[in-house]
Amino acid sequence: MKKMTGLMMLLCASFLIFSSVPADAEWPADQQITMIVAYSPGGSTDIMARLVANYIEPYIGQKVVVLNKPGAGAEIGYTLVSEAKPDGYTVGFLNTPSIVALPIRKKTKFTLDSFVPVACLMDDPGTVLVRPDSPFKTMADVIQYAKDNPGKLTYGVSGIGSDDHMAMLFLEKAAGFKAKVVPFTGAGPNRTALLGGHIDIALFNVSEAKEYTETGQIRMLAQMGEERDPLFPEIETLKEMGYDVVMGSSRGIAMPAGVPSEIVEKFAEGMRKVVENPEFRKKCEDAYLPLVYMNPAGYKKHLSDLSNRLTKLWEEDPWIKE
Amino acid sequence: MFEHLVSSLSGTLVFSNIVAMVVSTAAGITVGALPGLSASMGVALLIPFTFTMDPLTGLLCMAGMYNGAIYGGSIAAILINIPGTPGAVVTTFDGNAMAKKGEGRYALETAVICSTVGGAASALALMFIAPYLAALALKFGPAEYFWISVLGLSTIASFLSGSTVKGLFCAFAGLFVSTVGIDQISGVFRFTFDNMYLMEGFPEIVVLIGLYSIPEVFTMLEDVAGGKTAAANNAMLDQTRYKEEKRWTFRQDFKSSLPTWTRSSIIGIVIGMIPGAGSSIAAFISYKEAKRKSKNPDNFGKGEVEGIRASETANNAVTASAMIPMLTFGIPGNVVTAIMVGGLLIHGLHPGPNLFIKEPRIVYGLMWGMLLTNFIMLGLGYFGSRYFAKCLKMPTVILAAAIGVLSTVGTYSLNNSMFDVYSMLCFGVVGLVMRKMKLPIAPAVLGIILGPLAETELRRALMIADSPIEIFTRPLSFFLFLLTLLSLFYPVFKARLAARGTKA
Repeated sequence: MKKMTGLMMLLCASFLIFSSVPADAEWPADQQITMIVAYSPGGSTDIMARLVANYIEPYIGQKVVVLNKPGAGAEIGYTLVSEAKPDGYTVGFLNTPSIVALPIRKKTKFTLDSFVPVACLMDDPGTVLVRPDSPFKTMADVIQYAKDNPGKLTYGVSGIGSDDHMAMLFLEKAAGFKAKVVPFTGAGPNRTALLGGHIDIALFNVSEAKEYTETGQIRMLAQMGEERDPLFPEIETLKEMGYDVVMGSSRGIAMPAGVPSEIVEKFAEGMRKVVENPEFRKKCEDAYLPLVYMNPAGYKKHLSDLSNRLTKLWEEDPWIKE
Repeated sequence: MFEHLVSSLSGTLVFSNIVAMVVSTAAGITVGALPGLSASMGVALLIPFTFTMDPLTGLLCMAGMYNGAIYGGSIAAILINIPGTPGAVVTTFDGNAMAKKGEGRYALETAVICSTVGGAASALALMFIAPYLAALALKFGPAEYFWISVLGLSTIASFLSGSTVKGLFCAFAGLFVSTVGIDQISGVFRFTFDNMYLMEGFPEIVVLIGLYSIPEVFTMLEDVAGGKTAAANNAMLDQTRYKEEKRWTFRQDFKSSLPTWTRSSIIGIVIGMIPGAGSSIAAFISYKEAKRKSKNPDNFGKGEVEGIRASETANNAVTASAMIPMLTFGIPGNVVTAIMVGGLLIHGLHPGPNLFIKEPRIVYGLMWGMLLTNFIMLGLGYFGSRYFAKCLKMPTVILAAAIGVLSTVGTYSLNNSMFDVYSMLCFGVVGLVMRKMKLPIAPAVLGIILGPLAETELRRALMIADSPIEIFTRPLSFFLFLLTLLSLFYPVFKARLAARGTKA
């Protein structure tokens, strides 16, 4: 079976390379659409992409197949999307902050301008969490402690350059303290270390936190959305506390730059219907994935705003110190 | 709890679930046996199929796939000296030597029986003592993970049978290869030469396929060119048939296996529930312990059945125990269970203590699945052994070509990346050179698998600690540190004592 899958993927790849569609054909002609996912099969981005691929078919009248191209912190997948033929038959799944942070941090073959944003469908705000028995009762306690004991507070993040890590760098600057970053590989190990009491505080996203706050294993001190997340109406945002730190991880769909705007609009419309589909909504809500819908213009602004903020951060306090 | 266990059994044993378990276990064995296709890939590919299934049926499929694949890795390890999964690296040491002696069927039967014992022990631990084990697992922080990986690295000493210098050279070369890629702690690129394909380093499975498969293919082709053809192989196999093929028998094997089964199951269960460790570390540590306890340690690596018992019991004992932290805290114990968490979420099931209350049918059903698929695996594997062994009767040229093709397709399908295929071929050349120069491959593999773990965990532990000495003084760390010292110096003490004994 695995061999077959490999062959199928090879076939799909060769379709990508050798297929040429007559320019006057109505999109989507009789050719399936490939959705490139820059993360491995089985991860949460992949699962979301596969759900979208399942649900969008009736709305755009064409089959969408997922092709995983993981590696290099998503750079490989993003590069492939940016270099694909702009005919609307290749779309890509973009995650923030990686899509924005990669071109800032290193020389990449793509920039934000290499893509046409189509639609954003998820925005998962960051949060600050402690163990239930932690001496920190409020976010103010954490900040006071960090100010009184420079470099002593340990905070866990999902990785260097993750949205959690950057959020803390913004907060350090906004509140005027210095703490010690402990990077893990993903939110899971980060959460484990918090549960085991190996770090003082941890930062991860709403979707990763909900189950644990509900069972009382973890206490949430702050969230970092523009507004309070519907899952946590009682938790204050950092913005409400007076710190201008808005951070999270969003997922959306983009096409290579140069795709005709009718195609972009048509796909975006299909995406809007997917996000409104009650069955799809239920699946995502059950998994605590905070759905949003941003149209092409809104998504573009979302990405360029983040890019401006991160570019400034990189110049002042880079998240990687070489 | 017991009433849930009993009541969920009837829900688990409906016809469609049984079919799902049998089919997925068979698929798992196949996936495991094919070099390049690992348990985690098998489970990941299953997930889209489970979207429309009953959640329990979907989970039972994943359970079968997982158990089957970890066992299936031993088939290729024994027959063609290529570990089908990283956990089966250790099985190649003695398994393939036994196959070459004409004891292939005995080795295959031992592998499936020991896998079943380890897997079942692990499933029982999951069913009955999960909450206690989970509390222990949380006590493991970066410092403890570091010592576990050092304990794993210390097993290199067991593979230095030939030249110590050569063995250490290979171990350090392996450690070096593992440093390629982005540094997880600082985010700095190391040895990537601005090539984005090197950013995440070489996936361990790509290196494994290269180091094991390609040299094997070339050796086979050399045999063909040298006139040692399939006829010779067949003659060897036929010969063994005349002198009554050696088989696993209850009388000869059961009692002598008991100590290893107990020891290796415990090692596998403990390693399995520590997030980040995995079946390969469990197999290495268990092999080393078996060798240390053995009356004839010099036979290890030359076709000692004890070696297969240790390796296969331990790597399958990891499977269910890796679910202990997943089901009790929602923390995946390894890559496979991390993928399973994704599969659960899509059905609105959030792994964690709530799940036991909200969906006991599913939690306990999954536990039953982890137990029952072991016995399906036993049936399929035991009766399949005679047919698996037949693949060696294939003309060598065809066998070599098939391995080459499978290795290439398998490597490509990991990340859909041609760069991985080229890397695999390069490591193949390295492996071939190593084989010709009689450099041992196992220490290099250990370095590649454990290097990143040891390095990042040590650095993380140092970042967290107020003073570096804490790495030794935390209670659990101190215990693991002593264990490492003991494991390193025990052979020296033993030799000293023996020397004193003879003098007196």
